[in-house]
Amino acid sequence: MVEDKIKIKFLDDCLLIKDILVIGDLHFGRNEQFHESVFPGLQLKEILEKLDGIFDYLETEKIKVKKIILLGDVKHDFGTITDIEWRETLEFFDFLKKKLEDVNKISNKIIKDGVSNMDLANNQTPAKIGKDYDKTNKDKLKNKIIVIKGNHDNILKPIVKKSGIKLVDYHCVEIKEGKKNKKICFLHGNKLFKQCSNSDYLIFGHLHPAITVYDKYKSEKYKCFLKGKWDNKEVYILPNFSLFNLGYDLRNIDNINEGGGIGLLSWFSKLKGKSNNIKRGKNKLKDNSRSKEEFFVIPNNTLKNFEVVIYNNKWKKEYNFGVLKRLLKRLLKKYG
Amino acid sequence: MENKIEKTYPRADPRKTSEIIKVLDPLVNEWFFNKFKDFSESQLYGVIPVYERKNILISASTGSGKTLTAFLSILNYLIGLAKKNELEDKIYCVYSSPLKALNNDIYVNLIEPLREIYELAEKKNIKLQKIRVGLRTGDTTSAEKAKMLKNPPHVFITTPESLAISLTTKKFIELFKCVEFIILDEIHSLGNKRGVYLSISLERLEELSKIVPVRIGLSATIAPLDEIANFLVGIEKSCLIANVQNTKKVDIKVLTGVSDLINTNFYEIHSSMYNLIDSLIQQHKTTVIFTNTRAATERVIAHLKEMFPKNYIENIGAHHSSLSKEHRFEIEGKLRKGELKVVVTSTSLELGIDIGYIDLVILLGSPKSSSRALQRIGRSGHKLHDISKGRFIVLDRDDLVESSILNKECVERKIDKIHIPKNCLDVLSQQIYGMCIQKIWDIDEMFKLIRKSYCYNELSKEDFMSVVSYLSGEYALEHKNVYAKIWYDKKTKQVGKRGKLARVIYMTNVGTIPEESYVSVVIGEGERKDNKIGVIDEPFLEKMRPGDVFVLGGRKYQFMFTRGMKAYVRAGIKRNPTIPSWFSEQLPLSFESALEINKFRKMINDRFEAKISKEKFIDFIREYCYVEVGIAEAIYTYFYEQYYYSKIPHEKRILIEFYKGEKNYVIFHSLYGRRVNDALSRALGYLMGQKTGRDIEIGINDNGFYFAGEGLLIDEALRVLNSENLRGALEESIIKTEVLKRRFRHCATRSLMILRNYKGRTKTVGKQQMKSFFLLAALNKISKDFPILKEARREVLEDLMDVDNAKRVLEWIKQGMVKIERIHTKLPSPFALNLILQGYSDLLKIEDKLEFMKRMHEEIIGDINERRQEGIL
Repeated sequence: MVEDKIKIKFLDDCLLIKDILVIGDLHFGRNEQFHESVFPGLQLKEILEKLDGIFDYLETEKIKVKKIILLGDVKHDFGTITDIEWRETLEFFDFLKKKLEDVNKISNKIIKDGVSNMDLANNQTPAKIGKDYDKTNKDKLKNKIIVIKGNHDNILKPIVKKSGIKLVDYHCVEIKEGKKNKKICFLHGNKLFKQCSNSDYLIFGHLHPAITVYDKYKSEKYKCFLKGKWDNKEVYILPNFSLFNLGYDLRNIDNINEGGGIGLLSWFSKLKGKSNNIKRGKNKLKDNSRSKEEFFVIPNNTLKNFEVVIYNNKWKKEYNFGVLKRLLKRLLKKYG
Repeated sequence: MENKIEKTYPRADPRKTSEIIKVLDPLVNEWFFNKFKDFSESQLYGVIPVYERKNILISASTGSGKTLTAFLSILNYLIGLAKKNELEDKIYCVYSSPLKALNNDIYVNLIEPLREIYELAEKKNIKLQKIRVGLRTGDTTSAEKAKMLKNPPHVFITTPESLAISLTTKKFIELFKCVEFIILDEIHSLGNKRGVYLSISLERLEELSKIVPVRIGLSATIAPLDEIANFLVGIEKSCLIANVQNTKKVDIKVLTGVSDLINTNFYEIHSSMYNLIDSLIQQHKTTVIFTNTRAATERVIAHLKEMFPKNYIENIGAHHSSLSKEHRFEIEGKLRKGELKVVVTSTSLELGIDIGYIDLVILLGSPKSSSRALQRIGRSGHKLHDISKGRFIVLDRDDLVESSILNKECVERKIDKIHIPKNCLDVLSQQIYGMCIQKIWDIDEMFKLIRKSYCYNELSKEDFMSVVSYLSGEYALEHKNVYAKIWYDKKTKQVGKRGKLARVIYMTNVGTIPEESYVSVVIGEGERKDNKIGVIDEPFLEKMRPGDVFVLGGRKYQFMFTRGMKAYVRAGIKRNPTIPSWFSEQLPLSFESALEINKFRKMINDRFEAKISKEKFIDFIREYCYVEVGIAEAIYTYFYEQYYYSKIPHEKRILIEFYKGEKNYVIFHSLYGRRVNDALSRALGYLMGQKTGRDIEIGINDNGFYFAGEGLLIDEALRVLNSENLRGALEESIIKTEVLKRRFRHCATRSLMILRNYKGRTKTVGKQQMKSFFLLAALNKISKDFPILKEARREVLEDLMDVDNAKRVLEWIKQGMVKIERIHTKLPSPFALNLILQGYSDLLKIEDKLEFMKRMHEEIIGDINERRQEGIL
């Protein structure tokens, strides 16, 4: 049974689900938000280096990524696309596309065009292969990189469009677990969608979880994953992918949602009562008047029962610190 | 040891009254002698040199008429011009003072003589042009500034910050084209980055002016005078020094509330101390009490009111820097009117604000340096020939010895040395930006001008150019033009400002005093959850780790965690505090006074070894420290206990005491002041940690430091550390510290990497902190030699710590002048007690972040598994 379960692997700040690489919030431009930035461009450079490391590792492990899902908040500014955001985000997308192309070059050929390695070596000229490949791949790429719309992504569309990438509110895939097909749904985390209600797995960004571990003498903060159950679904929450920001200290978990989350039932019942255009202007107004918007869709008390996992990329090892509630209690009791 | 060649300047001699009368205008003479009997000592020294247009530094105690000395010749000159109708529309004299409040004072003191002279002139039917005095500080309205441009003041009164802004304003620059006098008041308070900043402004002012202005410096008693003179006039010019001997008599005493400071219980010490304070206050007309910290200030007032409700109602007040401006002005006003019986203050009343007649100064706890002690005591009997009356009231036994030695230094007028920071790259950034806003510069000319300042005389071209690179955006990876503040053309070698907002950015972000913020303390759990209890300052918060217990408003709280600018705590704690509440504000003991105490300790030790009688001993202490029998006996007892229980550390002996209590302690008795101890302990701790890979707890005070932890390889660290590798070890050891992070934030703000204010949006300190965190993380990847990071390191090592004197101590050890001796104790020796009781100051983070996580994971999960197994069994 257990072995049949879908393999969800931690990797750096990402998740690897079979051949899908899931990346958390990036917030391009955050660093340059104010006038005084002295090192613009550093963030992108570092992020690309980090991704290079991830892809190198995947190559040595002989894992071929077929799809990349970004969990939202790609860029930071709500109001406009700043010059630097425009450039960095574009460059970032181009980088991802290139990576996917590189990884899938050969496999694509075999499946799509029926060209084998052997053929490649023998007959056809490399130039021609390249051309054909490009043509087929461009269409395919649309479904290969998927960007979930985050709360910061009000005006991401122009950039995504230019890159030929899909921007969606949520994204679902089906993967075999044993004999059954399981539905995995990827969301940002500030909103739920009716279409996700029957899924088996939920993958979120948005929260940027981080945990401070301390003893009597010192304390250090680490990015972490949260993993748990909610409404019979397995839930994973990813840390952010950006560099200098470790994230939201989970010691303050009680403050995440003002009212402690509005609860799953009300979410879905609300969604069920509405048409599909729930997110359109008119209805949204009504929505707001009915209940205060919460920061994260999962209630605080549920999150407290999630497990905290710190992934150490240097040693490629995960450290499960157990259930958050117990961990916080334990630290406080033991070390004051 | 590097030997710096220090300039010496000629001393001025006092002149005769008749000589001065000869140079003054008859009108000025008549006015002066209507008002005063004779010239004061400092006027005898200073008036003629200013008249002769010589640069001069006048050092005299407060209340000696320094300010009028500086102005007398200038007023005389201006009156002369006014008589002849030759006054021009320009600034003749720039007067700069570090205090806004003081400026108001001077305004009144300058306007008053002028008004009187004009009255006299009117009586005598002498026609005079009007002499205008203008004030520009941060509080000056734009209407007033506009008025000033229309009718330029002849005497321009300002602060260092406002002067810097004036130097970038086109219309103001015009008025500076012919400045003849520059007066710098309160120079003794400029041994910091504000002074460094001002030193370049002075050179810029001189460069603007067609004639070289005369520089007049006014200072309280200070040392070394030659260095201050050098600071005043810069590198090339000559200067006279008027060291006006203090004719003011001082009456100082050391007092304690109880005779036995160790066997008396806390409450008794406490109540008898307040009884003593109360009786002193009641015996005098007006008293100022100096405490060393703001927290203590509030505490003293609360206790006095509580214990003597009839004596203190409306007639008591507090004056310290975190109180509002209005409150402070009100207190100063009441003092001048004689409406207050007592004012309690921390350091804010040390400077020359006019506070009327004070007849007693109480120093509660050691003021940590003799010049500070004299400065504070000098606030009493403000008129020249009055007697200054000061009383040290000691709090514990270390304080007793320290205060007694300071008492001796005050009586003998031994003054400790001021520390003037050099080559500060953050201040330099701000100044270069300001200069670029002023005009386009040739890079070499700019460098030459900056090097004229004493504080930048040794600035290397390399450091200078690295600041230019930073400002012109060369460290940026791309988008250079967006973020650069200046442009630099390598071909033409010219630099200039970039962007239309440059002046606005400069104006709204100018200054060198870091913003410290206050963090709200909030209850984090239980019934009173989210109740706000009060505020603590940020440096204090930085010292705290989860679980620490501290006192606020008389109650104990346990720190839990912070979120934004809030600190969450748990109330109803019974445990003793782990961090004393005065921690962050503590003043360091001056190195010179520390050496004096060490010398005294040696003398005491020698006498114990010679086994002289107790009577002779007491006599010796009485005579040496100028203290009364009771005090001498208390000192004797303290040393007696230390001598017979352990050993007395002194100027030739550093004692290392090994004591195993709750933790493993290694205690260094090295009385060199906390700035030196900070450097020594960190370097040693770092070297030990490198071997074991574990963190080490450190406690530091003026008298020594301790390490606590496992595997303290102290002998090995001592063998490795020397005066050559000290700096390197320290630079490594501070990389991960909170203090470097905080200092970096200050430097980043000063150098305008972080803008406190941009387009009218003010950035909170919390935001600044976040921003600086990003910047620091980025810098660690880009370049460790980035000028502002380098400056933050310099500031920590040279200004916060005292790396130079720490080097001297290591030299002494190497040469055998100071010997290290070891002793094991079952209980901490009397001298070690205060050090251990105060708790730890910092933790040297050696252990790798990932290793720490792994270890904690093992501990926490191991614990859980254990309990699980027990449950199963």
